[in-house]
Amino acid sequence: MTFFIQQGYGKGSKIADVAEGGNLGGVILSPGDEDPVKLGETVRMIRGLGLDARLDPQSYIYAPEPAGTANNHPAHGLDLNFSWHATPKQVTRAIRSVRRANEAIGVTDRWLTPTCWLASFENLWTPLSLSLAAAAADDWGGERTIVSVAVSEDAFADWRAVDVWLDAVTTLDVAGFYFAIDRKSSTYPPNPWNVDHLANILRVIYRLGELNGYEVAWGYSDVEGLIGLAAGASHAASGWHYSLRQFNRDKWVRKSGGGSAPTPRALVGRLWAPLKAADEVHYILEKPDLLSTFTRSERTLFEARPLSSFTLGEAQVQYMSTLARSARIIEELSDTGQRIATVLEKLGIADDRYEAIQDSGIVLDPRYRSRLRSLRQALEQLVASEKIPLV
Amino acid sequence: MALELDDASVTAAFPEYVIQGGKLGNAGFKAVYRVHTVGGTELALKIVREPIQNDESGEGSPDLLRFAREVEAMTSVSHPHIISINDAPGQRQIGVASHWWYTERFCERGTLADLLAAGGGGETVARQLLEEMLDALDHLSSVHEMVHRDIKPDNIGIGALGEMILLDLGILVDLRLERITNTYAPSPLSIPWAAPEQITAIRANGIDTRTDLFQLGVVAFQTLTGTHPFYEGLTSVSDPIRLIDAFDPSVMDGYTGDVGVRRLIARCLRTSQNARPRSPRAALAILNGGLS
Repeated sequence: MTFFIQQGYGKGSKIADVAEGGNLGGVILSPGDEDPVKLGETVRMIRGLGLDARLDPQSYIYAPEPAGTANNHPAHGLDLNFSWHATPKQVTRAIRSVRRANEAIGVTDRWLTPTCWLASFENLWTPLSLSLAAAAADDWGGERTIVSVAVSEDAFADWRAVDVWLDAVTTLDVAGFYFAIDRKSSTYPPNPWNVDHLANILRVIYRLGELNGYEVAWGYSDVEGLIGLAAGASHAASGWHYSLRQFNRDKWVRKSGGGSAPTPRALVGRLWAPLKAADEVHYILEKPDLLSTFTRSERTLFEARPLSSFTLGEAQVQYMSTLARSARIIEELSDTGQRIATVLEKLGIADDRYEAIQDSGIVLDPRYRSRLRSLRQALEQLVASEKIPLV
Repeated sequence: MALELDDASVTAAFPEYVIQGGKLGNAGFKAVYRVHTVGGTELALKIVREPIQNDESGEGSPDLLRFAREVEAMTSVSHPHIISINDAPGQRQIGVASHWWYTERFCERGTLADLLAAGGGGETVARQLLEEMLDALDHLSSVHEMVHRDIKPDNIGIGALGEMILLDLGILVDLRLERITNTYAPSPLSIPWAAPEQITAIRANGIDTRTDLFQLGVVAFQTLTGTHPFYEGLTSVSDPIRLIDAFDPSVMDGYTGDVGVRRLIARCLRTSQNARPRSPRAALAILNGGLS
């Protein structure tokens, strides 16, 4: 199964609830949100559900300055601090710390490397991130090593730099890569991606996953993770809170205090967007001509009771379950050309649905459609730049 | 400085061999002769054209260092599709100067260049070339961490049974050793077969087994189609990367129905190293339909 939950604070029964659908592959664990004892229990629970567990060491919050903080990192021994000129001894110490943190909670099969956050692929910090990856492969064994890459969205603006970085990382004898790609804004629903940046992210996924045979996981990836799967990713991860659906390093550095409770949103698979349940979903449901906007299971859920009573917890589980189901559908198409062609077709149909909704007089947040179009354009750019034959 | 050796001096210097005809030609910094022993074994006699000089620095010239590397490689590598040394290298007085020399197996059917010049390529030969050279490159890279970096039709010999043999380890790079050339200077190369990272100075330090796969892709394309994938009909090339980028793999469709051969050549000829197969083993998997 390709969809993973990105763990955050307050898991409750959400993991088990999503797993019930039978489409969940595993969980990316957050050591910042649970201490080792509790996280060990979580791992046992996850294993009991037949799912994979991977620990994101989250070391990208510390370097470069300003460093962030995470409550439980010291207890895991993961309060790792780097300088860009870290010595081999310091690199080894970091690798061993992550190894111990994994072993302490019972994660034994695949380990994510510590890394630093990169503003670009030609950054002062890039060599250190590569050293950490290579040292981990040496110490842990390549088949167990997943290289973490925490990087700004802007780094994908310069394909030449990305390409040179890819030349280097594809020499690593490792099992795969885990990406956390920093969006500049944390607003939700997210703003549309810069199409060129997103297309280059997809090219990286395609090159690593499809052409080089690595496992590629895209963390904090929301619905963008679905087009990542079409491009060759093995896993997409997203979580219950909005801050777990797009990566924003600032969240660790400048912790904001509370704010108002978010509005419950339902992910409408055929629109690729999280609509406000109480009004946007409700309005569409009231139009008989638009009922095909929803899948049968969505209609069953939405028509069961007034949407004004749809809770945040239910919305979170519905969001992850819908993503997991969509990921499963893509996963079942074995050939990348077929996956991309299918997803492009679905995006095109979704665009037509927005047209129909607009024609019916319902006004939706314009970000939904513009985001959808950015997904489609990025996927089309991927196909053109990599000359991928579509099936 | 490299000298042209005269045939009479060479004949006189090697009484243990019968030299057949004159010099066959020059292979890089070496002169090549076809010889046979008194027992009738045919060999290739290779002589470094640059004479040995008393070098007080002890560093030697790049050519002599390459010769040392080549000989070291040939003596350490043992593989049916890679040329091996017959007589260990020695010094011999030839005319007025002393030269390094050795002998290696002689390829009875010449080289792939000879075969292609006679119109002898095609899809069966292309597949055989890919299978045998990938086997050789897998051995070079995985066992010895070496990159040949000069794969071209002249450097692929053909033995008596039609088997292909990778020749001339003269500019081979051992990734475990320091480079002979300046790290930031363009690396030694044969332009028509050079990979982008050999042409572009910024990437010269990134030469690895994928460089060999690019070159093998060019040779395989030539073997399949009889034409060069990028430079056919051109007398000079000012922007090779642009021509490599513009390569359209569909031009192979009319030459073979062998999907594995087409796919592999297309992957090997990608400009970026990261878009080529990661290793000769991965390339073999593509050839045999295992990977895309």
